[in-house]
Amino acid sequence: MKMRSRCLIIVVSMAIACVSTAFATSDAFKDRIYQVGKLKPIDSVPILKVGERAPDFMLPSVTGKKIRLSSYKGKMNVVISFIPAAWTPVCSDQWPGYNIVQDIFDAHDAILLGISEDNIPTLFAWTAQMGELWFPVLSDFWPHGEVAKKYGVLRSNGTAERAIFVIDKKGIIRFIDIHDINRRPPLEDIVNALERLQHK
Amino acid sequence: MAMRHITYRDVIICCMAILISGILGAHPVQSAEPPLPYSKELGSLKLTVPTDKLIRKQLGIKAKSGQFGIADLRPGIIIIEIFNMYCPHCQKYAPTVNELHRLIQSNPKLKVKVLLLGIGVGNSPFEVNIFRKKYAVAFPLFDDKNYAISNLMHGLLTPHFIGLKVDGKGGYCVFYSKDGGFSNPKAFLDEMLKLSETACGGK
Repeated sequence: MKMRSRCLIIVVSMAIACVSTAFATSDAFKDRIYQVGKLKPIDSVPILKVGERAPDFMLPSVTGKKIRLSSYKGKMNVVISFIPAAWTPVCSDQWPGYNIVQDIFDAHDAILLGISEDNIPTLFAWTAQMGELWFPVLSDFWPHGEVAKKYGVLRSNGTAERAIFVIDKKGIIRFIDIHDINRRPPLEDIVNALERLQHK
Repeated sequence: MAMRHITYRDVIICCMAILISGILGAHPVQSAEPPLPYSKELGSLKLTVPTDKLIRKQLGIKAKSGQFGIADLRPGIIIIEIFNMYCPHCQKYAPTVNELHRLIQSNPKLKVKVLLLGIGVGNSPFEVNIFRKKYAVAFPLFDDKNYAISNLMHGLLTPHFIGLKVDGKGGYCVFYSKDGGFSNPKAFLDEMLKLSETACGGK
């Protein structure tokens, strides 16, 4: 019995070792990425549900402009992409992908708002490596994590979850994906959520 | 369905099966030179057999479904770009890699000798398709939805280019493996051809 348990532990450990993810980072960030290792997939308690009103906020963007969520009400659908931290592996290869699909967002009458808990100078330097981003990048640095907290995605170490919220033109949350922080949310999940808005 | 307890014998049989499958799988051809990054790991890589008959023919894949390994590709020189739809440099170098493909395809000798393909690390088929359409990529691209490449090739930066020779007998030999893109496709192709001539003991 003891031997059987030991063998099972070894096999399970080997299986876990095989599925652990080492993320391939872009050469654009060579030698500038801080390796965070494998993190607790989710470290917050969800407080918002689909169908609820999205909490309003106003945050500064890297361009110096202040962006208020409610300013899009009645005009555009909004996709919010919370990312945990600048200069880390998965985050550095997330927004550059969204940068080549502006046409998809346009076709769905949607704007993307990227939010990080980093300060403006950090976000400025980091996003400069990504090329010219077509969407606003917002800093939730001070008061620290206020918006992430309102959305239930503030982790215990002050970073945000890797989370996506899709909000319709009425300001109602239509899709939430609080994703495993170690992995990137598939693009098709966002596109499918935007598709569903058009059929409502 | 009744479940049976896993016995110690089952575990041993399972481990032996894994060991044997590893030995019988694709193998790198021995060379006197030290192995290049990811030479060995490539042998374990499995890709999904394309549904398109023409692409299967182009790759030299006999299977119509399931998965195939690098050594199942048609014999000759294979250039693999490991890219990521989300990677800024992969986006930047996409037109240059397209030009490399055009150079290969426009030369009747190279067309049959050199095969270029791309693997989207951590990318779903949807994401690979976005990249294909955005940059009008005409060479075969594969997805890696389950992060098989990043799990096999730790520390890899994208884009990463691998040059290898496949012998058609289950063997392969890597003669180039580097992170980062290139700005001169003609010079890159010439380097690949030159390296392939002398690499792997000239095999």
